[in-house]
Amino acid sequence: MSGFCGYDVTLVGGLRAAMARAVDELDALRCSDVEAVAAMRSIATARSTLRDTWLPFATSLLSCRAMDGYQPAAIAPGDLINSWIRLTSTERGWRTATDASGTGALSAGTALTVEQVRAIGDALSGAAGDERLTDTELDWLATALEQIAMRPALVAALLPAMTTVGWTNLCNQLGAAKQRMATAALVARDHDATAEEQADRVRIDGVFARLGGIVVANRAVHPRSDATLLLTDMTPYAAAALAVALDLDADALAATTRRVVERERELIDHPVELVLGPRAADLLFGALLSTPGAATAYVMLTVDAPQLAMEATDDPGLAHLLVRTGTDPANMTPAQAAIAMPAIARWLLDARTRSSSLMYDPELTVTLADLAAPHLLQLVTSGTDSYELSDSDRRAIQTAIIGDGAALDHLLSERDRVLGHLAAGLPVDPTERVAALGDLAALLAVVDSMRTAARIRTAEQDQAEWDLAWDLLDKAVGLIPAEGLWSVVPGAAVTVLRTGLEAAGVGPESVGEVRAAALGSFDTMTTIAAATVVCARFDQLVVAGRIAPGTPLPPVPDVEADDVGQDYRDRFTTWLGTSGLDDDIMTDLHDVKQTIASDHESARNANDALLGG
Amino acid sequence: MPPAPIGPQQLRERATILKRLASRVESALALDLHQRATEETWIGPTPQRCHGELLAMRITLRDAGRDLRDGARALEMRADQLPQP
Repeated sequence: MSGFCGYDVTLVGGLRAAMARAVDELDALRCSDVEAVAAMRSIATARSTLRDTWLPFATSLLSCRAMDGYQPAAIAPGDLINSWIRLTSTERGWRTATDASGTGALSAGTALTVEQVRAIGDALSGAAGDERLTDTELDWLATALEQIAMRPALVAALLPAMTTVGWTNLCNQLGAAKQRMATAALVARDHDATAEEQADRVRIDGVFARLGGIVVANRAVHPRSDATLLLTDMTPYAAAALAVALDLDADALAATTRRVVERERELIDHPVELVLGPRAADLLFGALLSTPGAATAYVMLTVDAPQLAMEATDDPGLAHLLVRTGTDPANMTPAQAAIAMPAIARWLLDARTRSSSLMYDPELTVTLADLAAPHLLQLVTSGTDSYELSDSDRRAIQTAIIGDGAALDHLLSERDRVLGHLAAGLPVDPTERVAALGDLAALLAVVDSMRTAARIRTAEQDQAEWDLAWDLLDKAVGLIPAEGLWSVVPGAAVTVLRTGLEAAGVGPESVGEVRAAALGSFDTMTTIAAATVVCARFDQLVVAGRIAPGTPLPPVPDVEADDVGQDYRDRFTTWLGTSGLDDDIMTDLHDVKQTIASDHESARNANDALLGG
Repeated sequence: MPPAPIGPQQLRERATILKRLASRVESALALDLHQRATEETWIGPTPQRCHGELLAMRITLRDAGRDLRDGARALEMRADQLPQP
C-alpha cells in the first residue's frame, strides 16, 4: 500500500525555503579547534539530514512530477488508513501526493489524536465501511480500535463521528466474512484450518472484540446508553458477533438474543431445517452459557416460543445444552420451572413429528428425557407441587420416554439429576419432612412403573434402575433429620440390616449379585428402602440419647419371604409394640416407614397415571 | 623541535572562538524548523517522521552548543591556572 501525504503548498514552500537557509547557515559554520570536533560532527549530521533527506522531499512535493510519474494523487474515499489525511486535506483545500519516500501506512501503533480518530469514524461511516477492508486495513483497524478503547477521549471522539450506518456497514462485512469462514469449516470438518484462515478468523474476532470494548468503555461513562440499538440494522449474524462482545448482563443478553434470533427466522424464507451453516444463535448461545443467569433468562423469555431456543442454532447440541442449563433446578427457581417445563415438554412432544420431512425425530425424545430428568416428579405426577399439565400430557411424556429405549436409558443414567431437587435436605417440620420422604417414594414408584411398562429386558437397564433405587436410599438416609448429628456413624441397626441384606445377596456393595427376582420387585425395593430409613433414624435417636441403649433393634426385611413387604410390616408392628419406646418416637419411626412403604400407594398412583389405572 | 608551549592568551582566544561558535549554533535556523513542519503544514507518515527528526535535530544542536560552551570554560580555567605574562 502506498502512503499518502496531504500538504499546504504555501506552508511547505515556506518550510522548504527555511530548510535551504538552514543548510546554508550550517554550511557556513567552521571551526578547526580540537575541542569543537564533536560539535562539528553534530552540525555536519544535521546539515546532511536536511540537505539529503528533507529538503529533497519538500522540493519533490512542490515540483511538477508529470514527467517522472510522481503525480499528485487523490485518496480514495474507502481508504481507511489514510482517512485522516484525506479528511484534513479536503477540509483545508490541500494537495495530496503519493508518498514515495514514506514507509507506507500511518502507523496505528503511534499515539492517535482526537482528529485522527474522528477521521476514522467518519471514514467507516462512509465508503471505508461500505467497501471490503483489506487484511492490512483490518490489522491496522484492530490496533487503532484497541488504542481508542483504552482512552475515553478517543472513545468520545469516535462515537459521534461513527454513524449507525458506519457500525452496520463495518459489522455486516465482518460478520459475512466470519459466517463464510464458519460455513467453510463446517463443510470441511476433516480439514484443519490453515494458518491463513486462522489468522483471518483472529483478525475479524479481534475487530469485533475491540468494537465491543469501545461500546463498553462508553457505557462506563454513559450508563444509560443502550448499545443494543446499534444492532438493529445489522444482519443477524453480524449483530450476534457484536452483541457477544458488549458484555451485556443476563437479562439484556437474553432480550437481545431473542430479538436477533426472531429476526433471523423471519429473514429465512425456507424451512429452518434446511438452512445449513452457522446462525446467530450459535454465537449468542455461547455467550448466554458463559453469562451467569442468562441461560435461564433466555429460557423464560422464550416460554411462548421454545423453537427460538430449540431450533435456533446450527449446532443442536448447543441449543440442548442451553435449555438443559437454563432449566437446571440449580439455576431455575421452582416457580420458573412450573412455567417453563410444561411449555418445553409440550413443544418437544409436538416437535417429534413436526419436522419438515414429517419424520419422527428420535433425538427429540432423548432430549425430552434429559430435560425432564430433574423435574420428573412434577412432570409425571399430579400433586400439590406438580406442574400444570393435563393427565394426557403427563401420560404422553411417560409413554414417549418408555417407547424409546435410548430415552429411557438416558433417563435412568441421569440418576444424579433425577434426585437433584431433593438434595437440599429435609425440612425440620414433621409434616413437610414426611411430604419430602413421600417424594422419594413417589419417585421410586414413577421410575419403577416406567421401567415395568417399558419391559426392560437388558441387564444394564436392570442395573441402572437398581443403582437409582440405591441412590434414592442413600439420599433418604442422608436426609433423615439429624438433630445436629449429621456425621453420625451408622449404628447397630443399619449394620444389622446391611449384614442381613448382604447375606441374602441384596445390598449396595453387592449390587452385581442381586438376584433378578429382587430387581423386578417393587415390593422388595420399597421394603428395603423403608427398613434402611427406619434403621438409620433409630441409630440417630440412640446416639441422641432419645432411645435407651439395649433397646431391641428394628427388624430387617426377609428377602426370602413370599411377601417381603407384608412380612416386614407384620414384624415391624410387632417390634414397635414391644420396644418400650416413647409414643412420639414410635410415631416418628412409624411415619418414616409408612411414608416409603405405605402399602404401595405411591406405586399404585404411578401405575394409575401411567397405565390408566 | 617540540611544539611551543600554549600560553594563557592563546587558550582564551580559543575559548572565545568556541563561545562564538556556540552562539551561532544556538541561534541557527535549523533549531526552529520543526515549528514549520507541524500538522498545519502537512500530514502523512513521512511528514510525521520529518517532524520527529527535526525535533531530534534541535536537541542535538542544542547539546552541541552546550558542549562548545563547556569546552570554552575548560580552556578559560586552564588559562587562569597558568602563570600570567
